Amino acid sequence: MTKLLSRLLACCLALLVFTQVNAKELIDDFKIEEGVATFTQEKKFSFLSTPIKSSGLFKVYKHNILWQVNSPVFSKLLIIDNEIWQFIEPNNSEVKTKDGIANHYRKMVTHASIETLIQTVFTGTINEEQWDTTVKSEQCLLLQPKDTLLAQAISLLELCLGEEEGEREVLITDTQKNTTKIVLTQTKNSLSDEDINEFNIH
Amino acid sequence: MNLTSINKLYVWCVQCIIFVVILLYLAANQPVSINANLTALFDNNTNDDWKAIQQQFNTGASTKQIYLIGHSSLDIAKEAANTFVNQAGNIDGIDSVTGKLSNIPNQSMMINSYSGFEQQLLLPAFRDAITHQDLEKIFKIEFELINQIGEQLVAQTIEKDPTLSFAHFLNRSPFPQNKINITSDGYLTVPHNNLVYNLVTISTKEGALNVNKAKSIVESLNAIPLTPEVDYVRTGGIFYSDEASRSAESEMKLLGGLSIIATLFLIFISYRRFSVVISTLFLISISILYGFIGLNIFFKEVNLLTMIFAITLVGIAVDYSFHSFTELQRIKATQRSPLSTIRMSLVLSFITTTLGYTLLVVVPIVLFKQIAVFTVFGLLGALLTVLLVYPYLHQKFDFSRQKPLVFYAKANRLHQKLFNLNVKVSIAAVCIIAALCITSLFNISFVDNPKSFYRVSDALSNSEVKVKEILGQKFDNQYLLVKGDSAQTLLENEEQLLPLLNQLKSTQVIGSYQAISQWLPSIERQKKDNQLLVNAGNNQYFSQFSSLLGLNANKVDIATQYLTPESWFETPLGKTYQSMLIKDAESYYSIIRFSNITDVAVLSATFAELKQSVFVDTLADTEKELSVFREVLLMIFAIAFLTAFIVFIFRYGWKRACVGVLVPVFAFTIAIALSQLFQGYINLFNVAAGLVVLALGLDYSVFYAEHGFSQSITQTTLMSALSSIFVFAMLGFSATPAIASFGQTVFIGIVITFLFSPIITKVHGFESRKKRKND
Repeated sequence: MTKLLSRLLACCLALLVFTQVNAKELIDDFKIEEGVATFTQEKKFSFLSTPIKSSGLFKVYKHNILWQVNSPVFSKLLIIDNEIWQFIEPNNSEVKTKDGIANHYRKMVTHASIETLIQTVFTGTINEEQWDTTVKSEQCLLLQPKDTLLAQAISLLELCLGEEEGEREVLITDTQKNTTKIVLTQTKNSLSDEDINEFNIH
Repeated sequence: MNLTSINKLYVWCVQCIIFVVILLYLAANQPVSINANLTALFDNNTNDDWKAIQQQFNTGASTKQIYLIGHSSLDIAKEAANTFVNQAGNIDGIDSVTGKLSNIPNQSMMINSYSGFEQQLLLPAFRDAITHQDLEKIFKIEFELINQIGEQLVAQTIEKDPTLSFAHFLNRSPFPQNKINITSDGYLTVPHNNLVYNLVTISTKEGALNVNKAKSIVESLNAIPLTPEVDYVRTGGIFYSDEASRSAESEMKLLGGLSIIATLFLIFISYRRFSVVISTLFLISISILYGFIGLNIFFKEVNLLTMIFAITLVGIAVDYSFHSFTELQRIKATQRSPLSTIRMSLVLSFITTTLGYTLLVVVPIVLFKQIAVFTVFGLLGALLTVLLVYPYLHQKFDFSRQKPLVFYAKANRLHQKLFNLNVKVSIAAVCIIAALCITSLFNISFVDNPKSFYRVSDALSNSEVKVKEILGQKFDNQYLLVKGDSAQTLLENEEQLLPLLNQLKSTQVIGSYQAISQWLPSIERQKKDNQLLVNAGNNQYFSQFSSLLGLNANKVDIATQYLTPESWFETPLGKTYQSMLIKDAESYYSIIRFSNITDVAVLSATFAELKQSVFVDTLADTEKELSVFREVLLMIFAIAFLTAFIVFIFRYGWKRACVGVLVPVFAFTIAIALSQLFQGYINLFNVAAGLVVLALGLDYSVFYAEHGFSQSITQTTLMSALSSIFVFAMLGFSATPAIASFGQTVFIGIVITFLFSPIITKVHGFESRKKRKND
């Protein structure tokens, strides 16, 4: 009986260790250190019959993110050193600093939790202080926010590796059961000098 | 009236009892508090409404203190924060301690704050797009909002406002900090360098500028046991006050103690009697007591620097003791009025010194007033003690039993030799000194930054930098103060400023700003924005968005009621802005705060022309005022010089008056020149030192003019100079730059004054001629 119990305990421990290792490996698989990817986004609201669709591309460089929506309207955000900068249309709102340098970006005052979400969605960087992580399947991780402000907006984040190489699917479920599905396809693993230049906000 | 020694003692006792009773009465009813405000050097009793409001805002701001408690494990950091919050909450003087999200409004609270007013709030971008009929821009704003990852605003507000103007209005943070997270159990956390910090905010009952309160709170905070391996970082006004107070206290003890010991040792060596040492110690104690009585009578609050400058009183007060004991060494104990010969000199010396210090009272710098009152009262106590107590002590202890020390006879001869030097050598020496002084004075640079008067420890300033780094943005010390006759006019005045502020933000002169009107538009603005939105709806400006959603986004209701300050300030969001509004009997005032100012000069120049608002930069304002008062002080110096000159002319004739007054002026000039050479700059305290040099220098001139270049006068002036040098040279080593500047200049000035003041005996005025005739 004691033998049986100890074997059972050993099996449980092995399973626990395997799950932990598996979760860690999955987290590593989601990470994008540097590269370019395209995305399509579909937002379903409970109060709308048709989903809101958009598409664009994003670039990751040294933990910084450029998120560019191309359709149906153009917009660009840069997340640099935990600060969000919004691109301003050069034709009508270009502003110059006191030194005369054209400044195409305006710093947005947002909350850290939004940056956490964007970082997690687009780079797969999962901060375990901010997310509770569970393995859903071989390809999928479930994340629940620990941060209160984020938890007020998001109830669940599902990250899945796609069938194709470099493909990922993200499903965000908010507290009102509205969902946002984002499909990401990594097209490049490194950035050109031109791409890197885009991370220069001035 | 020629009283006996015992009757003089009785008179002294009576007046002393009266003063002590006054002190006790004042201390019981209105005790003096000690203030450590770096910029509170000027009078507080201003009639300027703006200044009074500024003080209210500044005091309110100094009640906030921050602790960041960090560990690599969030749970340990939270537990450490909990322990700290529980213990700090029991400290007397602390109003509240919080480590949790209790007063930060969440999104639902913010939406509810505007319930019923959703379609009358527009941000400039939305307003501009409608005004310019830019339908593409309107759709872009709407689409970006609905497409934003993780935002709930649209879902929660679209029912009340399908135009999304309200969601756009709320889609920003009311706080400049952007690095704070909130845990599920409500803790405010910030990740930094592999540690997670818990933010704990402390609100004290009084501002940090009350030193005694600040000190007791910091002592209690320091007594809280800290969790091992947990990083505690803190910043706030009380920590600066506490450090300034500790530094002042230790300097007072060390420098004051050393100078008193050195002075008493000098007295013992010179008179070889313990009774003289004890009597002088008694005189010093009485003069300090009288100084405090003066402060209690005239002030409710005393600056910390005054307490340090109080040491200078010791140097001046003991001079009376030296003059008296040197005289008493020559007078028999049985003589009825043993100090009659030097009484006039003592009184004259008191008058000239008092005159010098009284002039400081007219300077609108409260610190100088306090120093003047303390010194004048202290010297009055010393003079009364010398004239009324010393004759009795002489009768008891017979100070004439010890003959003067031979050393002073030698010193006198040596000093005499200085004036018999070879003319060529003298001229060469004077030329070298003059060249040095002129070069130095031509390169003089004045520094009036009040921050340079104090030296903040590296630990404190590093701590503040670290807190700023961990938390992200933090408000700068400068702010814009806006005035209005009513709450509505105040909001309207603020709204007129917003385009200018946005321009400054876009040109990166400021990083961001915080104003009440950003979140509470005036009723006039709400009316206009609602009208604009109604017209836009009627003209189908939101049709593109309507077709995307399959809803009617052009539905806008006409506003029938408007959001008022009274109701908004009661909402969770409004409550966080309450401290930014102050009302006095006639007007309303609000502040607009800035973060990440990159160019204060541009900001100051931009706001200079504005009406109904004032740009407040306390440090720069103080700097400006200090530079003016440095010039005023030089004027006072000139007036003191002229007054002394006139008194001297009447007493000693114009030739001796010229010499008697010019020697301290000459000494001060060299002292300033050398201070510039050593320090690299001159500040207000170097200039203020001139008055002490003048006061002591005139004393020496009076005694030399009255009693000649005798051994006894050499003894008293040398002792006086040495005791003053002990005090001021000690101050030169102070860790507080302002005090070190003062001590250094006075030290140099006194050495030079002592060396050259006997010149007055080489010039014959009518007084000396009269004296010689009588002799």
